[in-house]
Amino acid sequence: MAIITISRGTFSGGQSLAECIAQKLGYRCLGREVLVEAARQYGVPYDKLAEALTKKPGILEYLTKERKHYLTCIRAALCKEAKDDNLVYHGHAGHLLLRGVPDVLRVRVVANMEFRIRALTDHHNVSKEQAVQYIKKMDEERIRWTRFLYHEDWQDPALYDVVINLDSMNISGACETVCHLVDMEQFKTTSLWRKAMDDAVLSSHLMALLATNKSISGEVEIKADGGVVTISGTVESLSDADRVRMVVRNEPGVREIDSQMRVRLAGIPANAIPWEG
Amino acid sequence: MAVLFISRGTVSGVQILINRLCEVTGFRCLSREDLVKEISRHGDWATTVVEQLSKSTSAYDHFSRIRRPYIVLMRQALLEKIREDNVVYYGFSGHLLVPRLKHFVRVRIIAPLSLRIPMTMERLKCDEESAREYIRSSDDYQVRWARFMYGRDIRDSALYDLNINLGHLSIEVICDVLKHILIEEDLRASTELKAQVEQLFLAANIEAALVVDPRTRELEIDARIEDGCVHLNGPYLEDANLEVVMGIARSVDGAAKVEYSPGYASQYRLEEHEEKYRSQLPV
Repeated sequence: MAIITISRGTFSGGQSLAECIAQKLGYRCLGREVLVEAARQYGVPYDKLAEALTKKPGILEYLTKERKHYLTCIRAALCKEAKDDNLVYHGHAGHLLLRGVPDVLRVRVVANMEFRIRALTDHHNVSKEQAVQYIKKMDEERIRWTRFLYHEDWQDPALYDVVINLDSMNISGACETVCHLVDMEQFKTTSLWRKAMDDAVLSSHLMALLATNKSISGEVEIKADGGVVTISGTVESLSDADRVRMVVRNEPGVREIDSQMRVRLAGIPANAIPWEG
Repeated sequence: MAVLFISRGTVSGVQILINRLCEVTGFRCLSREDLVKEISRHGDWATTVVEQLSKSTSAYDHFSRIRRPYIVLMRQALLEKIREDNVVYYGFSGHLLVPRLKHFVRVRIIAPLSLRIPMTMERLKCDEESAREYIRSSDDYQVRWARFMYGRDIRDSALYDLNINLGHLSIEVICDVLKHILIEEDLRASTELKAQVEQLFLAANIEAALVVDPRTRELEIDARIEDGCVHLNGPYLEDANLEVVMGIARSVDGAAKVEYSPGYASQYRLEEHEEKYRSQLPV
């Protein structure tokens, strides 16, 4: 019982590996389907989500929070999928989107350029030069994307639990290795894991609701612990803080709210004035 | 069966993993120190070369003349020890000394600072800041050393078959996975692979004999074995020198037929082997 994320470069064999693992273990295998689900649940255009997940950031993008909001929706949809356990996710940045979710096996596959060129030219009518250009462009976009949003180096092996080189191990060998890993005691579902997962699902869902709520201005963080929701961060006004609490309070699973928000300009605790809602 | 090369950063707690792995697989543990001992049989000069290059922390250019002897001697000592397979080798990037063969499994173990700092503090009896600085400078040294020695960045995950993170996976889990990989049918050394190792060993013996002999030490001669014949590549030699080189090469056990051609092969032939290895991979 486990959640496995597969990170890889374009045409590096990651999808084949994910499908092999899912088939062998009887797990669900997800990629872009998560975006469809996120779009449906939070009423966000699919194209915007896909763009947020793959396109490199623009020069002025650090001024807006739009992309982060879209990623919050994707994380929430992915957490909901992961809640049922037994999942292989091979979409982009699974290991980063599921940060904080316990016992996720973060796998990365690497393959040499010849392998990737062959994989691309076998499926698409492109020349070798075009294939090289495309692969390099995609890699560069992912490097910039990860650096911009998570301040990490996408290629850093320390971000993953296992990095498998498909240059020396074929898909079935890699598949066998990952299946063997998740069969270990460490990845068995426990009641502690269930609770941590429930908390992750609730907090990510609330974050997505707040991110897509256009009537709220501010940047808040949500932590959930067995139905107790802690709200921190900064909002623009006291009425924004009220609206945040309203959204949170109305969600099933929320038992208690611990509000620690601050109002940006005044710098005062947003719960200084009793909330009547 | 197989040969496992383990690469790791300074104070990563990998020694416990290696000991445990050898215990459960029955593989022999082989360290860099074992190779140094093996090299000492070539005399004081060979020992000095290895010691000098191991301890140097700066002014690499000063030592560049002994870079090749170091690689040749270490490779020969390593091949001598791994001929019989079933070995776990851990040391300074040992996997870069030999070409890629199917039963050579190259693994890098990564440990997060949160694990390494307490271990370093305990080992060195120092505070957190000093431990952090020690790890940073030692890692940096390892990277620079390998770049100088082999022209590779040891942090590049593509240099390994597997990179495993100790931060999340326990020693028992890693041990079990590695054991599983090592006993796989595919990784058993076939007769053909064993023959390739023997050829590499013969070539390494010849190169080492030429490096150890003061008359040919500076010549930088590469050896490779093809169809039972030893091919030597190096600079253009006068007849007298050529005779010395051929004499030394022929004196090595197994080198019956020896040919010499002026000109250099690719750097230590690793790239050549890389090509050959890739051409054998399933499509």
